[in-house]
Amino acid sequence: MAKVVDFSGASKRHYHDAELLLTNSRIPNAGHLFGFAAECGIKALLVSYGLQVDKTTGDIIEKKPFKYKTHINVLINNVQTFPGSPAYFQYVQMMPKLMAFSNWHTSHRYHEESSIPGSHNNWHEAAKEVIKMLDQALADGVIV
Amino acid sequence: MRKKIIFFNDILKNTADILSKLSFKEAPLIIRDIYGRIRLAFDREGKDIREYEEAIVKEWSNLGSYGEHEGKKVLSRDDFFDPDSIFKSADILDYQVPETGNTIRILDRPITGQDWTRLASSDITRIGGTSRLVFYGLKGGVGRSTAMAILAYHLAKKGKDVLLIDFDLESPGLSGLMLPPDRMAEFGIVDWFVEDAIGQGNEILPAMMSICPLSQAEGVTGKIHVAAASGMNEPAYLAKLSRVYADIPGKEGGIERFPERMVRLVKALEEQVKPDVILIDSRAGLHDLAAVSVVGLGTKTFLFAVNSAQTWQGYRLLFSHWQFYPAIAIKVREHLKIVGTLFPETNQESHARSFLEHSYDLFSSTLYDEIPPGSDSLSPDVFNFDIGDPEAPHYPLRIKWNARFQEFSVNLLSEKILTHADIEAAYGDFLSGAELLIEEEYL
Repeated sequence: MAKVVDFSGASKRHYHDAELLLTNSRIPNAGHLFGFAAECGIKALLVSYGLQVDKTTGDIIEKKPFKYKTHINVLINNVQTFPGSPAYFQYVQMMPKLMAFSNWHTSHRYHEESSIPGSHNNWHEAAKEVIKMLDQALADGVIV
Repeated sequence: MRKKIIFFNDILKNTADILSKLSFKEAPLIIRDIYGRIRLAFDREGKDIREYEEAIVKEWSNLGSYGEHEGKKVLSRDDFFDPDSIFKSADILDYQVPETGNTIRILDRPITGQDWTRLASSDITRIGGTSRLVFYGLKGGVGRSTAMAILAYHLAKKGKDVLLIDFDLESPGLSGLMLPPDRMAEFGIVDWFVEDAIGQGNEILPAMMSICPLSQAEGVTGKIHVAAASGMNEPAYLAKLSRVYADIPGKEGGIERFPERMVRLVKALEEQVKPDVILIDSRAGLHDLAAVSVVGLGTKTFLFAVNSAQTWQGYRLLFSHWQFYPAIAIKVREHLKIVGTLFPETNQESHARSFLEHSYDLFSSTLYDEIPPGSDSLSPDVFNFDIGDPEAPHYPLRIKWNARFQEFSVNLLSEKILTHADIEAAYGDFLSGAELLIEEEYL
């Protein structure tokens, strides 16, 4: 199997598409994609600071219960406790709004529209911090 | 054939050579990452730079391992979410290649040390017009803190309110010198950094300031305020110190970096005390904390030096770094002043001559402008001085070694054990020179 996983590239793709949906007033799915954008961006950071990946596919290797191989609403609770170096935490500090995703859930995709939290603006802001963090990490040569 | 190994020393020169060979219509930005690896970034859309990529990749072997990395070697606006954060970064500098004089635009991304080339924002340079004199040395133990105490006393006797700030956090000593243990404030500078990180900095500001008892000594009409590194009965200095350098979430979004926090603290202390002069004890050596003091905070910086090979070599490392970035060098050099300290009692004449020659050689080969043959060295546009010009940055203010000032404490002043004549004999030149510099700043 080829190396199919590119967390950083996927993060930017989801973010870009989320903004397209937002400008076309497709709000529930925009919010949903902001969650995936943030998840992928944080995974890119975790991997560059030592989270183990499958060398062939590039995906995260983790045994259950998953702390990192998981969606954004769970991932945000484990970012601060990841055993990263001080340099890792410099990037974490660039994303103070991550907890906005605590009411995001992957099962929202099954929901009827009115039951999805109206938090897309907060999710948007939090995802933007993740994407900006990726810019700095790219310039630093930490995430290529 | 064995592959030629390229080392860090050659990377920027080789990059500049590649760029002059390829001669692009617009100069790309060179990004040197935290490992020292090089990539080029064009402030254009991806489709507009494809034609460049092939030519660049072909030349990249000239960078050896510093050019071999996963991912793109050439970046465009499309690679960044917020391209202006890269292409309009305040940290982009013109770097002058010493061998050729060619200039390249570089965004350097080191782990630490960037503050040696990061100038103060304009709002800190002259808050309230107060002079901020930074006391800096490459090594400790050269009498910086004692000189600071003596200058504070000298200014307070002339009715000036002086604020002393101890930013030598890894080797704090100012409070021991200036304050009896029972006169220390409840909190110190390390407390402010940890409390500020969780939004409580303002709560402890009023309890950070001590008044040095010298303020009550005979003939003293000004006050000497001290912001010490630690508070009274400090229980956890190292636990706090290890958290001081954190960047924290900014109020306006983004992050507030440590140097910006340090500047904010100085502003807050200044607003609270409203002193006439601030004296800052800088950390010694080539450390970030010193960089912020020297480049970002000081309106004047005293460079303490003894006449030894290691002193001059050390200062040359720092000055050469500035020399690569002319825009920084021309700002920084204007506020430097060498202080020749521990001036010995023997061989005075040859010592003074040797010191002056070394100091002049250091400045003239790094920070002074070269005077082209036939031009006027007195032109105000040229930053250059005669070796014997006492107003020149290289010309030392002198502090004479004097055994009476070993194991100095301010009690020696308040109890008049050290007399005016003692001070004048050892510190007279330094004090009058420092005073002149402060007065010049007020003009």
